[in-house]
Amino acid sequence: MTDVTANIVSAAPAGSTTRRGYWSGVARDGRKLGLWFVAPTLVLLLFIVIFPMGMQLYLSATWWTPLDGTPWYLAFESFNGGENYLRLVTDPGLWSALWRTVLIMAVAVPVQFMLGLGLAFLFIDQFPGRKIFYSILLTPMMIVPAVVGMMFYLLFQGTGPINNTFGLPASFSWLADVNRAMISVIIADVWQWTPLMFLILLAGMLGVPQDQLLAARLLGGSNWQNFRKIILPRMKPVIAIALVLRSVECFKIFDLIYIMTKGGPGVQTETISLYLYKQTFADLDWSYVAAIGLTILLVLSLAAARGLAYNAKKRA
Amino acid sequence: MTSSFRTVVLKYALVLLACSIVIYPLLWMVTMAFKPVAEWTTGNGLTWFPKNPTLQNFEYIFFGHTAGLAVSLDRTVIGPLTASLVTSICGTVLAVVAGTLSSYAVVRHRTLPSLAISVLQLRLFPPLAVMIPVMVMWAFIGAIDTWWGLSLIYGIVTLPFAFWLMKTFFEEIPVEIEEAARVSGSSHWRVFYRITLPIVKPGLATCVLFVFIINWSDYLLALLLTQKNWVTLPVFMSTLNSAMGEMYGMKAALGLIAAIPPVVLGLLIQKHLVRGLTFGALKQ
Amino acid sequence: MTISRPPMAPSRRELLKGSAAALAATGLGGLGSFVTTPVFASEFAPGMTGGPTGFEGAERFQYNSGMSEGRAIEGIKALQAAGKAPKKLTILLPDGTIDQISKPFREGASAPLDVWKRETGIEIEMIGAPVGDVFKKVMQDVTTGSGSYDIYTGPWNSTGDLVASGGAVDCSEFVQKYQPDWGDPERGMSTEALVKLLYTYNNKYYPVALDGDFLTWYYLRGIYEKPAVQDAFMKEMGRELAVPNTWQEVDDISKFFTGKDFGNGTMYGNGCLMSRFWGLPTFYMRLASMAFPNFYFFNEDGHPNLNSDLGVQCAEEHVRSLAWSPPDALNFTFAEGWASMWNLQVPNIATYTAIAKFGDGYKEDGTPKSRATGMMDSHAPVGRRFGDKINRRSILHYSISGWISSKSPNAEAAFLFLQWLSSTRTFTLMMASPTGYFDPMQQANFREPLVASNYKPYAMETIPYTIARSVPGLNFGGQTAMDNALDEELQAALTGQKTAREAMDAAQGKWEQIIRRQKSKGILEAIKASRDTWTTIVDPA
Repeated sequence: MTDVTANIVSAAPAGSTTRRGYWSGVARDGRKLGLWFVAPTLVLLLFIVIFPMGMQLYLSATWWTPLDGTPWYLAFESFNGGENYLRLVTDPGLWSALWRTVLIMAVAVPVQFMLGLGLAFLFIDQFPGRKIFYSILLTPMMIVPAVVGMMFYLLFQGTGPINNTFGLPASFSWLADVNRAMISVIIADVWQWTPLMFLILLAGMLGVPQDQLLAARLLGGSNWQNFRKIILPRMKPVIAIALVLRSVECFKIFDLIYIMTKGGPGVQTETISLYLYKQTFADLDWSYVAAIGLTILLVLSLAAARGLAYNAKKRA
Repeated sequence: MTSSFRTVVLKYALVLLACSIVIYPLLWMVTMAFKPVAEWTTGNGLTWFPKNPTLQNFEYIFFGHTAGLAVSLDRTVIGPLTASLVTSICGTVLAVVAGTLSSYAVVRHRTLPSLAISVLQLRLFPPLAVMIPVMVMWAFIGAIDTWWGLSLIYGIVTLPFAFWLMKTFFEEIPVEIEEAARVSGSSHWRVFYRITLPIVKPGLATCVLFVFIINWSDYLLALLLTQKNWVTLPVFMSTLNSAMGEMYGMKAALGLIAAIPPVVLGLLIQKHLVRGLTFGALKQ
Repeated sequence: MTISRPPMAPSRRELLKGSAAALAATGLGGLGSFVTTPVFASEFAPGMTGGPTGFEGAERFQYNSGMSEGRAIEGIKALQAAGKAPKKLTILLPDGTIDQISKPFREGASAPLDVWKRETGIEIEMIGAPVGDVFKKVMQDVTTGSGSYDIYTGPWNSTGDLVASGGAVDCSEFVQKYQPDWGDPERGMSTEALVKLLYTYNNKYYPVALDGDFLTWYYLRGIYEKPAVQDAFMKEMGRELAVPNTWQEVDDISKFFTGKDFGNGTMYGNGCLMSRFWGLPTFYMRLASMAFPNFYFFNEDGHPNLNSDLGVQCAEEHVRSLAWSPPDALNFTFAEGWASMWNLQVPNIATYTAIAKFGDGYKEDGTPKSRATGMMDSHAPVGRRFGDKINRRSILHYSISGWISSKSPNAEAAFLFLQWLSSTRTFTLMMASPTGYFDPMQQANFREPLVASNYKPYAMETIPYTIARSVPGLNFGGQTAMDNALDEELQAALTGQKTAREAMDAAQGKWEQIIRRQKSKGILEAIKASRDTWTTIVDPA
């Protein structure tokens, strides 16, 4: 605290040499200073929100593609009203990509949660080596996702170590197989992100007051009962945070799959992001992608707003 | 607090199992990076550890050629490594400066309280859903395939992390300290600059490292916004191919180089990872 | 539904061994030191002013200002004198082609690129991209207008898309001015029609052909001729095993070989690529011969023909043939496809002609390039029998071409580089390289002993014969989207998600939709124009 006190003293203006310009006014006016402080963030936000949204709305009402050879602002020449949105509703490619995305979320996130919870449970108490094991277990989530994709790409080769470890023949393919490609991708995602669940859930568990734990133990319940009756209910908000975070990220999944399978075989592992990528760069269907993108933004924003409102209501 | 011997054994067994599952893929990549061509696939029997360890893979990616292979590289890893470093650092500076200032304003001066949620929404959307306008805009301002173009988008997408992380650090500082300084006649700016910033210095350092890791891990944005001069490490790794077949060893070597900085930095700020990753909702 | 496969066999293991072997073949042995290379005069042959030196026969690749390459060099010098030449040109290339330009084909010989640099002083910066993604990189550069390259390269098919987007320069004026020898009656493409096909779009010179991807059939003569194989085939099929002439015969042979072991491990019958992107031409090739003389992909009004009965029948045959493919065939790139032949796993394959260059013959240390060395041969394209005629058909698909970027400030210099590179002497020299994806198609290529030793004498007649019987893949604006749509539906059928008819119906729908949306941009005219470039050669059965 002495440090701070020293600073307070030294921070006091030295005499009356203070300049009386605009900036010194800002420095003294909390409201003005606050506005200047948020300015950079606002500029960045406007840069990425206002103009892009407007442009996306504009393009989505046309048939414009870069193949037209006209600049995007002349897109009105191929104005088509809502046809892109009509197409979106009936596009089986889009819906199946959405379905696969949801499937990955529905499998990977609960598995990560259960594994993370189990691991966190093991780490509540101190034990020799805990720190080292803890660090090892956290490693996967710090690795660049593209590298994780490459790693699992190597592992799942027919001649790779997985088949070798489990005594499978080299012809037992993972990434080229209609069903196993999806499983491979999910395994990779679980490997990378279970540590995040573990980290968050453990932090949540350790946040449960010790005296309550102690009381539970004194009453003689088993560990599991303690866990279920006392710890788990208190962790509800933490669990919610962990699940929401992972679900959002899982919905966006791209790097891992793009590197492991490029969405293949066929479109077996094509998620919404890969579908958008394909439409953008392979089919160059930009106005359609704009329509899909805008719809996704709208739906997600509504969902987020509802989620926040629900949260607020519950707290009230 | 007594645990029977059996539960202790069981506990260690489970922890060790989890650790070995974590290590299994890592080990394969690390050893692959040191294997010569002949040992890349299991054609001649699987080897976990290189029988003839070699630095050939690293030589190839750093110098563009190596004794064993006639195929050469059109560019070495130096360029992508520089690109990754430069853009991650600049993006981090941008995000942390903007995030620190604005979160301070929101916390202390109650400027635009709704900013917090708006910023958070940036993390909600799949980047590909907004990339077309971004690409057109970046093209318009000539930012495609430049260090600043990539840094700019990095600064924007990691802003939410910087903002929320710094917000929690500022919230932890008792408002009384600043008030004391105000009473002694300091301006708001001086209070922020001379009092608050020094107090949150450790938090700031954490924030910088954390945001750097996120930027360094990007693949998609660099894939879309660079062409040749500023291709980053992960993009370079994924496009590394030769005239014939996969360059497993070289890819593993590149993966290793790309993986090391975030792991080291991540372990360094282990204590604050939860806070960063949950946007400050949780502390450890 | 899962794809039925023959009982497990240790195939993929073998295969990947082959992949690594392939890498080793091109890498380890490809450019080893040539200790015994005598020193050749580094001067030019009488009358010649430029070109490579340093090896026996170099004079065949040298030129003077009266020749296509010489005109290009003179053109550069004139630009330089006028101060209009750049110091550097940047070119985007599939990464597997770079060594072919920048490395000598053997120790002591000049690399094509060194010749260029020596004669013009202009640096060439080569940027590599994966061969399957290179056009995405091109379009990324065009759409973002970043102008990172002077020259793009990519699949010939995509010329229409690139031209439509305004990304390529019309080089007609330069062609007029510098007269490249692409259509030279002795050395260039053999017919006017082929020049038009490979070097023009909408009657203007946009693409510069650097490759000849007319899918060519290769087979393992060494396996075909084994008495045990002959006997077994006779017993099972009631006729002699011979090179196939029709798709029916191809399928019979595929079926026969699948699951059998003739002392080289278990074989699979169908070597043709079936995977996404790389497998699409296999289908087109089969489809083109469904009717006599051609099964056009579009009828005369420009309406797609995919879900006609013949189209569906072809899709059914295509899907059925997957049962005779090696495991993982749906994930193969052309490299794994080649490796399956080099490992004697498949008896037939229709593929790019570099398969012989990389897999047949001997490395410089005397070891064979693959297990198939000495066993490979090529055969004519297959078709269908209509009375006493067979319509043998192959397809032009992919085939790396160069375009001048419309953002390049050095269009003329860039064109001159491409002219120099694609003229018959320099191009033939590139074909002498033991590595790289650029494959021969000019008449001069096939007469050159160095090319023959690379691509094998047995293919020197088959390739031109195949070229004459090839039809073009889609190549008009909208091509990428149409190929992707059909490809995706075929993959759905191959993975059992859809029946062949459902897939063809869906593909038909997508094609109609694309055409409807591009109608105002002249897609119908382009489709009709493309119909006119189809060959009508048929052969006696």
